[in-house]
Amino acid sequence: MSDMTSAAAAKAKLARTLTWSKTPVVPTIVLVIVLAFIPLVWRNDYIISLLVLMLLFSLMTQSWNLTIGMCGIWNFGQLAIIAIGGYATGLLTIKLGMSAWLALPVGVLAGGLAAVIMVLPSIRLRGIYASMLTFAFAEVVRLLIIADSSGFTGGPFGLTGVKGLFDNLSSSWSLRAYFWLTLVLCAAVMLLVHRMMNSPFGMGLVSLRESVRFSIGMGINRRVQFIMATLISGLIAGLAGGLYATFYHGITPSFMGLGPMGLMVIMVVVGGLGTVRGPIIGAFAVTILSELLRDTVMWRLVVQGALLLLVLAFWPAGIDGLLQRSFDKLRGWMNVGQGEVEGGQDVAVAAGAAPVGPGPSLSAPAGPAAQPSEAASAVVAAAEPPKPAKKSGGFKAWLNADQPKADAAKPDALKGDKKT
Amino acid sequence: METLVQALISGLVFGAIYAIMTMGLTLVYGCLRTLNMAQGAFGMVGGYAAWVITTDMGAPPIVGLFVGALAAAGIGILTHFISIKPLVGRKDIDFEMTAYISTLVVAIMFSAAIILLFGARNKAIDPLVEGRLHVFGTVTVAWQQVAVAVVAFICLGGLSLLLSRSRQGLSIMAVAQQFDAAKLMGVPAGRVYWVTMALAGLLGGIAGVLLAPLYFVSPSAGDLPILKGLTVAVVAGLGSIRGTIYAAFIIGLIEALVATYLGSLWSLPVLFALIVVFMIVRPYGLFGKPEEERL
Repeated sequence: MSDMTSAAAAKAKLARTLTWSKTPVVPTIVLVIVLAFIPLVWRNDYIISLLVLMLLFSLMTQSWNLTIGMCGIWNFGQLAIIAIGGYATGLLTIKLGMSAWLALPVGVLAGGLAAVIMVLPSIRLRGIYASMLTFAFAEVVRLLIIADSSGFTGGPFGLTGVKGLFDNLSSSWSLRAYFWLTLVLCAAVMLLVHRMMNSPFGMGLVSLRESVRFSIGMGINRRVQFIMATLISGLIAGLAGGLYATFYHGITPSFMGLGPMGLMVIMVVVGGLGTVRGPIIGAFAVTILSELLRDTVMWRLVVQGALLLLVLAFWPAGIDGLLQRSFDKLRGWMNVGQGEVEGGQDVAVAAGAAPVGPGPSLSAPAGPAAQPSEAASAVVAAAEPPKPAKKSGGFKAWLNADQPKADAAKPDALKGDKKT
Repeated sequence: METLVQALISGLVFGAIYAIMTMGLTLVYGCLRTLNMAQGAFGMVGGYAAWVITTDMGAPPIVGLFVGALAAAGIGILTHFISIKPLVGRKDIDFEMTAYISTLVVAIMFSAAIILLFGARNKAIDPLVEGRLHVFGTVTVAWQQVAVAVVAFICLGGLSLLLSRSRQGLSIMAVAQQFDAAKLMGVPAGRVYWVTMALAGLLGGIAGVLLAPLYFVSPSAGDLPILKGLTVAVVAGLGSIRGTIYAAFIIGLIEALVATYLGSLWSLPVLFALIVVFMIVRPYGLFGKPEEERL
């Protein structure tokens, strides 16, 4: 009987990994409407501002997770992108006197642009080198802002006096308006990311994360995919940064740096790296934990760090992975005896051998199954019929430079992939 | 001319500190395939241990150097057992990224723990030797800088002897070259791992104690050194010992020249901007192997 249970569970899992799950639009809208009543029922301004902070954090982690979790780009400069969005928004309202509503979209665009500029040179770098490059970019941004003594960015003290979005409302209503706005935006971004990850584009990203060579062999254009994903991630980051700056009426360079980055790493990894819900869960869980430990500020970091080490050691898929697993168990238990007709054993075997997919894996190469697929990609690349070389402009040629050109040098080049 | 010589001297001294500090990163990366973000925290802990033993208990600074180095070595072993060992050999995670994240968080935990123990205020620490040496004209060198250079060269020499002559060092090199082959030859990989981390801690601690009189001992004293160390390691090509030494001195000199002629506020931004350009031109560092052809 337990055999059948596991077969049913495996079948359900297979069905989930092999099909594109539907974007849960209606449940999300219902959830948003329910949550929107919180500030009306629970009239505590402190709690509401905390909720806004959590929502802002989850936007930030969502944007970062898109590059580091979904695509496997080692992007450790995301805080600089968020800060660029915030500074752009803030500077426009302060220096040009623009309304925050007009400045925010500009901040969003600035974030997207900065992200693309940052990631472009690191696309061709291997893991750790890419992390160093993006980190160096972020440090350059931070140090330039700190070094700026002309008063343009406020130097180490940051920008102050940024206009808010709801300045004409009373302070507690402005807070509530921020809550509703960030709630809706957060839900919208989540739906967007979910929709994106369950499309050919998102599947391409996941496939690139699991095996670059295989994906290129399958005709996925690595550069276009990564640039698009980075752009979207940067836009979300710019939005989060702009909202942050207008919500707190300011932003300081201490927003970036090693410590805040560590906090964001903890949020993303504890929630679940490379999943849609993970970053949101992580942002909420870690912020709530911080609040519980509010009286002992320094213990907070130690406890959060220990939490991350525990999660890494025992549940590398994070809280989201845990939830998913218990949900699977529950469903398996409820479906006992349901899925026996179609020869559960085969499905179970197939499910065991099909680990590629946006499952709760820490962007790991998919175990032993990755090896054959790498070999397969070599075959695909080698067997590609020679196409007549197309003359095209510089940028387009650069974008397509990854695509297998079946020239004589390729088989040799493929050997270089054997990494230790 | 004299400013130039002054800048060159300070560049060489900082290069020497960066060399021993980054050597820890290089060894750990070569052996454990982990970019150890806690290397800066080792130096910070070493500085605190030296501060406790010299300023609090009145021991001479040279004892502080030894105690700091040993304390940092202990912290290195601790880091290995809490953040790297649980991840080694796991199939369900991407080891390099996970270890990077866990050591980064360990570094943050150490500085939080230091704040809990000693408070957030900067502590001043006495240099190993006082006074300045007059070379010529207005060029002077603090004896501390001379001592730093001497200690650094002793460390590098000792390290190269250790790695090329001793059994333990040879097993580190063997694991770094070919993990499986080393294991088949009977090298105890588990022990090599923590010995390497202890060695990295030792080097980081020495660098931390040497840097402490130049800056201060503070809970965030590890942040800047780790950034510099990462820069050096990346310019060198991760895991390359020869490259590390060259890159450390190159970066020390660039930094000193920029600080002298543009102002110290600009040294880091210029340095990082140069790194960005360098990595676009040569993505695998000076001496690294191009492990993946341009993708």
